[in-house]
Amino acid sequence: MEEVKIGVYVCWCGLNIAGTVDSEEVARYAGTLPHVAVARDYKYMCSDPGQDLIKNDIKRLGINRVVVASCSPRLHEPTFRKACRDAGLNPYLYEHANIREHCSWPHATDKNRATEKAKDLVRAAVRRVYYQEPLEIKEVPVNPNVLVVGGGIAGIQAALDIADGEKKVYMVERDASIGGHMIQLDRTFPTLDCSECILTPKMTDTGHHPNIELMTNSEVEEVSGYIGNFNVRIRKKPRYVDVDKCNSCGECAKVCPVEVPDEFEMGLSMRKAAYLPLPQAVPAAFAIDKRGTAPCRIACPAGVNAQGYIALISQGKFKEALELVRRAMPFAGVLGRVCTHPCELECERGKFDEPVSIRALKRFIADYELKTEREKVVPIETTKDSKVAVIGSGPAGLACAYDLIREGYAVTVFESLPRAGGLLRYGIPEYRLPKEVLDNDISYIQELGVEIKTKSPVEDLAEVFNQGYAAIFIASGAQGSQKMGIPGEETSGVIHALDFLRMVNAGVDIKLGNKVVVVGGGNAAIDAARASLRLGAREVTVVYRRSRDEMPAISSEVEEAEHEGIKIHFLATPTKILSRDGQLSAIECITMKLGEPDASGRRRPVAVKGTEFTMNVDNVIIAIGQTVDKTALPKELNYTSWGTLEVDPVTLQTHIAGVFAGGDVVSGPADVVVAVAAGKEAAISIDRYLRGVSLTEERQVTPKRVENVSKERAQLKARASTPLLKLDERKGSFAEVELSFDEKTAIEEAKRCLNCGVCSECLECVKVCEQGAINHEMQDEFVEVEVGSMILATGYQQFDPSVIPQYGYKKFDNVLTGLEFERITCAGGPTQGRIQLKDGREPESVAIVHCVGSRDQNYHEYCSRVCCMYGLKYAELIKEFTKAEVYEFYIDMRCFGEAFEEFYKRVSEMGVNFIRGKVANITDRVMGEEERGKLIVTAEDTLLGKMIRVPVDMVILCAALEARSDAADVASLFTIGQRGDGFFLETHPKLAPVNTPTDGVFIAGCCEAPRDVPDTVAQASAAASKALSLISRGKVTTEAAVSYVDESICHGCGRCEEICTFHAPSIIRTDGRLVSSINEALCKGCGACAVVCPTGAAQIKHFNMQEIEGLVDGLLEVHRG
Amino acid sequence: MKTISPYKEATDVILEAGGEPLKLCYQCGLCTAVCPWNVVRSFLVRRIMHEAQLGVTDFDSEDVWTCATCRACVQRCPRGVEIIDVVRAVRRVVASLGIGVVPDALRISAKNIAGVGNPFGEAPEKRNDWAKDLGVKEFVPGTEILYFPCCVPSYDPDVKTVARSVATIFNKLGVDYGLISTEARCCGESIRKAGHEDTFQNLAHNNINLFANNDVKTVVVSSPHCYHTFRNEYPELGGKFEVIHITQYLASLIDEGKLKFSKTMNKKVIYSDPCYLGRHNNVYDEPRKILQSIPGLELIEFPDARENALCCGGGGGRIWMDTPKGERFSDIRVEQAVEKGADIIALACPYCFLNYRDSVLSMGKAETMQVRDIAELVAEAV
Amino acid sequence: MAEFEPKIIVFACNWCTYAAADLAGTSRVQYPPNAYIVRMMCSGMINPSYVLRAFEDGADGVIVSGCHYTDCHYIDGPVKCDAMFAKLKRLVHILGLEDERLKREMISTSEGTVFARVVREFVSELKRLGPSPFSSLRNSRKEKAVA
Repeated sequence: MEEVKIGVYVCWCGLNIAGTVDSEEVARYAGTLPHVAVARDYKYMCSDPGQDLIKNDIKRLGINRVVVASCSPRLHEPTFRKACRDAGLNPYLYEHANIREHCSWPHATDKNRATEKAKDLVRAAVRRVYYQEPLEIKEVPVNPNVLVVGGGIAGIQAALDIADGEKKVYMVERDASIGGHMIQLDRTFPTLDCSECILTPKMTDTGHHPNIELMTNSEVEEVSGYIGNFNVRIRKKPRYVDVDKCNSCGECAKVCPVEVPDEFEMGLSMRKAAYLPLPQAVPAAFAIDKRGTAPCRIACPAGVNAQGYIALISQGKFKEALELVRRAMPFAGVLGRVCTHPCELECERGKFDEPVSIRALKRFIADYELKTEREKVVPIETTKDSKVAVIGSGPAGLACAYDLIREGYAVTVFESLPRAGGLLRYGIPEYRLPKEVLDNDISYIQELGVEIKTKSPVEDLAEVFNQGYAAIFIASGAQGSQKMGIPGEETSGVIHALDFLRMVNAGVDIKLGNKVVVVGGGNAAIDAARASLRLGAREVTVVYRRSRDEMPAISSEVEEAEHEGIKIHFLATPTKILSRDGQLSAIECITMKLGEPDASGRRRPVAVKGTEFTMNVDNVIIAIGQTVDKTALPKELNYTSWGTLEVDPVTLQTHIAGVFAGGDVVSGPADVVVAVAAGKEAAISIDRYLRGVSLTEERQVTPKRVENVSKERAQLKARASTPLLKLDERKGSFAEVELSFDEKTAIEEAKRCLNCGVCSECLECVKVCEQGAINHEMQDEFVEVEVGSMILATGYQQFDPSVIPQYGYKKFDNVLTGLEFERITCAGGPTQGRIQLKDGREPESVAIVHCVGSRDQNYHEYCSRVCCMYGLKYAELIKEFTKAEVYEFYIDMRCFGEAFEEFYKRVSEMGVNFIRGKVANITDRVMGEEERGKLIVTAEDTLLGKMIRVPVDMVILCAALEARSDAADVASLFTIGQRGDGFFLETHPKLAPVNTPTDGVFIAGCCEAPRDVPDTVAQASAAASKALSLISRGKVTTEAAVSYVDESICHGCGRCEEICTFHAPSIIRTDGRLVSSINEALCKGCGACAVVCPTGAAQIKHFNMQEIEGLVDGLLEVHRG
Repeated sequence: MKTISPYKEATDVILEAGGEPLKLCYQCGLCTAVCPWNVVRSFLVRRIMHEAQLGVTDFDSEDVWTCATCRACVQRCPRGVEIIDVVRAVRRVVASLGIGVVPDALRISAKNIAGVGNPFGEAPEKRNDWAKDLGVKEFVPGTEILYFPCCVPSYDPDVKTVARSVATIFNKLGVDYGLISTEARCCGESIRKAGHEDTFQNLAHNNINLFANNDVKTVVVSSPHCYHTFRNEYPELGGKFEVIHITQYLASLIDEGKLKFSKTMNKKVIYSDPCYLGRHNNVYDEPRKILQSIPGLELIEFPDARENALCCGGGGGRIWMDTPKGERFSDIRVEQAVEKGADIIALACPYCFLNYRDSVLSMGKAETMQVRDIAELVAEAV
Repeated sequence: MAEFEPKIIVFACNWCTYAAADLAGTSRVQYPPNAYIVRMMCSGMINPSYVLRAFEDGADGVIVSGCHYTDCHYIDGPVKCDAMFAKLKRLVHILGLEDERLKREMISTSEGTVFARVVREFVSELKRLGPSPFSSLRNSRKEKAVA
C-alpha cells in the first residue's frame, strides 16, 4: 500500500468558525497528528482559492487523503469531494469534520473548549480517513418523465415549463379541477390584474398540452425507487362523469336535487352534488360529489335509497321519488305505512335534533300517486327463457317476483287464498293499511307482467317443475297460530288473532261482546285490540307478560291504542279460561315479574305465586305468536327445530336444487320489510341459479357508509309529525288513522335531510345527460407511472380563525376571512362582485385585521408574507367600489416586493385609516348609541398610546397561510422533511431552496413556506429547471456507500436477507457453499445487514467497522496499536 | 423638547432584576388592549415594556404599581413575553435601589410582612387563634395534611369563616390534618410581585425549613396566591412538598364519594375565577364541579369567565393599596352578578373575598348579594 | 481541580438527529461541548460493537439517536435500532456500567432545541454520576500514546 499522506484543511468561515474556534491553532495541532503531511487553515475553504489549496496539495504534494474541517457535511461535503475528484483523487478518500454547526455555533460562549472540541473532531476525522478506501461510482440513466403533484399555480407553472421543454409530465391533482387557491383570488396585488384572466389560459394550456397527462380527483398512493427511477402508484378516484364525453351543458346540475356548500365559493353559496368545480374548470367537465352511502339506505333491509327519494321530494319531484323507491321494491304505499323504519334509527339528523320522517315521506309519494292517478305501466318484455314459480303472494313472494320480472323472467305467483297480498291483506287491519293502497302496489306488479294465480294452493313441488318452471320460491308465510296451552283455550268465544284478523279483513261480520281481552304484546295483539274496539267492544284490555320496554309492537301503535282507550295490563299472563254454561265468562291471570335475561336478551317473566286474579270477559283473543303451518306446505321440505323451513342462510336455497324459500316461512314472524328483503335476496339467487353462475361468489358487497356528516349548517327544526284521524271518528269505522302530509309539509320535511352521502344516487342526472357521460358505477382506478423526478406543489390551507374565539369568526355574520372576501369581490362570485354585508347592505365601514394566526406564538410564529399586501388590496377595492371607511389594523407593514411600497402609498392616498396595534377583540357588546348594530374592534393604537374602539360593519381577518393538515402524510410518502411549522423542509434555505433531502424530489410554492404568486411562479420554474437539468444530464450516480459481503467469512446464515427492507441481499450457492450476495442497485446503504451479521462479513462501504471504530477512538483520544 | 437617548444602564438594572423577557416585546399593544385597567382608566402596558427596553422608565410613576398581575396579557401575548416578570423587575429596582417611591400603603404592609410575617402587623403567635375552639390539632410529623389558610383568613375577623369552614369540613369528614406552628409566615407571593425580593426570600426560607423540619408532605391551601408560590416558586428554593388548593381537594373528595351533601341550597350562584387559580395555574373545573354538586344550587357564569375572567384587582400587591371608587374591578363584577340575577358570588381566594366584600358594602348591595367562599358553601351544605 | 467534564459520544442518523444538531447550531442554540457526534446513515446502522467501543474507550455516556418511527429515510430503521438497542442495554449492564450512561433518543430534523436539551440534560446527569469506571483506562492509553 502506498504511504498515506493526509492533508488537513481548517476553515474559518469568516468569523463563523474563527470567531469562536482558533482555526490556526486547530490546523497547527492537526499538523502534529500521525500521517498528516500538510495542515492548513483558510478564511473560506469553500471558495475557489480555498479549493485550489486542496487541489494543488493533491497534485504537488501527493496528498492522498483529505480532511476538511468546516461547516456541516450536509452542506459542503459534495463541494470538497468534487474538488478531490477534480484533482484526481477518489472522492471517498475524503472526510469532513463539522466544526461550525456542531462546534463554533452551539459553543460560542466557551471559546477554549470549542477549540479543544474542534481539535478532537479533526483528530477523529484524520483517524477515520486513514482507513478509507476508494469507491467506484456507478451511473444509471434518468427516466425523462416528471411527476408534478398539485395543480395550483406552482404545479401548473412547473408542468408547463417541463412540458414546453418537450418532456412528459404527469400531473396529479386531488380536486376535480386544477387552479388551486390562485383561481379563487379575485385580483392579485399590487398590479390588481384579475387572477382568472391571467391564470385561466395557463390552466387551459395545462389541460390541452400534449406532453401533460392530467389526473384530477387523484392522489399519489405509493412511491418507490430512487432519483432518476421512481415508480409511483396513483389512485384515480371516480368523477362519475366521463371527462371526454361531458360537454359542460349543466343539465345534470339542473336536475340534481342535492345542494351542498360550494367549496370554491368558500361556502358563501351552494352548489349541487353534480357540479362544475369552478367556472373555468380544467378539465372542463362536471363532476359528481359522492362521499359514501347514506346510513338510512344502509339500514334499510330492502336497500331503498331513502336519501335519494327524500332529495327528490325536497325538489317537488314526487313522481320521480316514487320511481326511485320502486327501483328497490314495489311496496311504497304499504311500507310507507307499516314499515318499522330501521332507517330512522340510523338517520344522522337524529344526532342533531330528530330523525327525518322517512317512512311518512315514502307514504306521501305513494299517496300522491293514488291521488293523481298512476299511468298504466308498460309490461316488461320477457327476455329470459326460464319461468319462475313463486308460492305465496305476501311481501316476500311479490318482492321476489317483482325483481325477477324486471330481470326478464316470466313469473307466476301461486296464492291459495282468494286475493293476493298474504299477511298484508289478511293480517293488517284497514285502518292501518287500506285495501286500496295494497291493491295499487299489487296491481303495479301485475301490470309489469307478473301473473298471480289465486285460489291455487301448491301441494307438490315436482308438479310445479313439471309445468315448466325452472325455479321455485316458497314464501307462504307463518300462518299457524301459537296455542297457549291453558285450560279452557277451546271454549267458544276464544279466538286466535290471525283468524280474527283474517275474518275482519275478509269482511266477515263478527259479533263481539262488551268486554274483550287480547293476550300478547306484538303488532297482531295491538291490531286485534284496536279492531275489536272498532267492531263495537266497549272495554278492550291487552294482557302482556312483560313490561312496556320489552313490547315488540310498534310503539306509536301502542300509544295510539292507549289513546283510543285500550288498557294494557303489563306483567300478567292467563292461567285459565273460565266458562259458565259452556259460554266464556272470565279469564284467570297471574302477575309476573321480570327475572334474568333469556336467549333473546329480554328479561324472562316469572310468575309470582299466589297473585292470581280474574277478569270477567266476553271474548278472548290470543295473539301470542304465529307458526309455520306445515300441513299447507309441500311434503319434500326440511324444517329447523323452530319449525321453520331450513334454507342456506346466504342463498336461501332449500336442500332441493332450484327451490328457494324466504320470508316468515323461514324467519318466523318478522317485519314486512325483512320479508321484502328476503324476497329480493331470493331473486338474486334464482337469477344466478338460472344463469348457471355461483350462488355465493362476490355476493355480499358492503356499501361504504359515509363518514363525518357535517351538521355545521343545520338549523334546529323538529320533525314533521303525521296528522291523525280524530279520536271520535275512529270508533265503528276502519277509516285510516294516520293521514298523509300535505305537499308543503312533505317538502319542508324532506329539506331537513342532511344529504349524508352528498350525491343521493337518485340518477336523475343520468336521465337528462344526452352525452351519456354519467356513470354512477365508476370505481377507484390505480395507475402506475415511472418518472425520474417529482415536483411537490401541494400548496397551503387557510388558517381557521374560529380557534381565536375573541375574533368572533363564525359567530358574527360579517366577520370574514380573506378568501371569503376574495369571492365577494369577484365578479363571478356569489354577490357578482358587490361588496355587501350578509343582509345585502353595503358596508359603511370595514376593518381589516392583519396577522390573524401569524406572528403569534399561540398559533403560528412565522409571518405569512402576503397578508399586508392583500390587506392593502382589500382596502383599495373597498375604497374603489364603496363609500366605506376602511381601517387597517397592523403591527408592522411589510411591503418589500416590487412595486409594493408604491401600492402602499397609493392606498394611503385613498384615505385609508392605518392603526398600528394588534386587535384584541371583535365584539357586538356595544357602548353608546354610535356603536349600535355594529361590530366593535378594540386595540391599542400604539402610536397614539390610546385604547380605541372602532365600530364597523364588516371585519376581514387576514388569516395565516398554514401547512396543509395532511402535510405530514405527504412528507412521509415522498420521504422528505417538515419544519416545526409543518411546511416542507428544503435542503438549504438559500442555496438549495427547491431541493429536498431525497434526491430527485423538488418542492415549489406554498407547500415550502407562505409566499405570493410571483415568488411561487419563480420557485416553480426553479423546480422545473432542476428536473430538466436532471433529464438533460441523462444519468445519475448511484449510492457508492452500499453494503458488500466478504465471502470468505460469510456463513450464508441469511440474517441479512431477513432484515433488509429493500431485498438487496440474497443467499446464493458458490463453490458448493452458501453465501450472501448483494444486489447493489437495490441497496440503499442503510447498514442494517451489517448490524445483524454474526461474522462481520457484511459491511457498508465507507462506513465499515474499522472506519467507525477508528473515528470513535479518535474522538476519545485513544490510541490502539 | 427633551432629548431622550436610550439609557442602557437603566435597562440593565431591569434586566438584572429579572426583566429579561422584555427583549422579546414587539410593541403590538395587545397587552394594553386586553388589560382590565383599560376598562376603567388608561394603563399602557405596552409603553412600560418599551420604556424598559429603552431605559427611559419613569420610576416615580404610579404606573409602576398599577399592574394587578392578573396575567390576561401574558396569556394572549403573541411573543410569549412574561410581562409580569418585567413589571416585577421594575418594582424590584424601585424597592431595592431606592429609585422612585414605594406607595405608602404598600410600604406599611411590606414592613409588617418583613417584621412580623403578616401584612396586618398582628402578633405572630395569634396566627392560629381562628381555630381555637375547633379542636384542630397541631401538625406533627406523620400527619397527612397541613392546612395553610393564608394570612387573611388567619387574622381578618370577616374572613376567618373561610378557614373555619375548611376546619369544620375536615373535622366532619375525619381528614387527618393539622396546623403548623405559629412560626409560619406569610407565603410571600404578593410581596414578591410588589418587588420585595429579599423579604420573599426570607419568608420562603423560613417556611420551607419549618415544613421540612416537620416532615410536611402535603399542604392544602385556601389562597391561590399561596398555591402559586408553593407550587411554582418554592421548589426552586428547595421546597419539597405537594400543594393542593382547597377546591381541588374538595373536588377529589367528591369524586371519591367521601364528600356528600345533605342539604339543599336553592340559590343562583355565580363563580368568579381567581387569576392565580385560573390563568396562572389552569384550575377552572374543580371549583365549578364542587358548586354543581351542591343540591339545588344553580351555577351561572359571568359574561367573561374562565380564561377571560375579570380580575378582582387584588393581585401583585394591589390588595394593600388603595384603588379609587370607579376603578374597582370588583365593583364591575358585582354589577354583572346583579344583572345576571345571582344570589351569591362564590369565590376561591381570600383577596377576592376582601375586594368583593368591600364592593358589596360600598355599593349598598349587602342585603341582596352574598359574597361567600366555596368552602363556606360546602360547610353549610355538607 | 477542574470540574469533571463527561465525554459523550452521540451516534446520530444522517437524516434526522444529525440534521437536528445542525439546526441547533444554525439557530445558535447553546449547549455544552461535551458531546461528539458520529454521523451514521441510519440509526439501524449502529452496530452494538461501536457503542461498546466507545465505552471501552472511556466514554462517560453514549446516545443512540435517529428519526421517529414514521420519518425514516430507510422506512423502518428505528425499529431495527430498537431491536439492537434492547440487546445493547443488556451488554452494557453486563459490563458493569450504570444503565443511565446509555440513552436511546429519537430527534427529528426540526428538533434542534430538543437535541440541545438532550445533551444539556445528559451532561448534568453524567456530572452527577461521575466519570465512567473505564475512563482511567482511557487516560492510561492516552498517556501511552503521548509517550
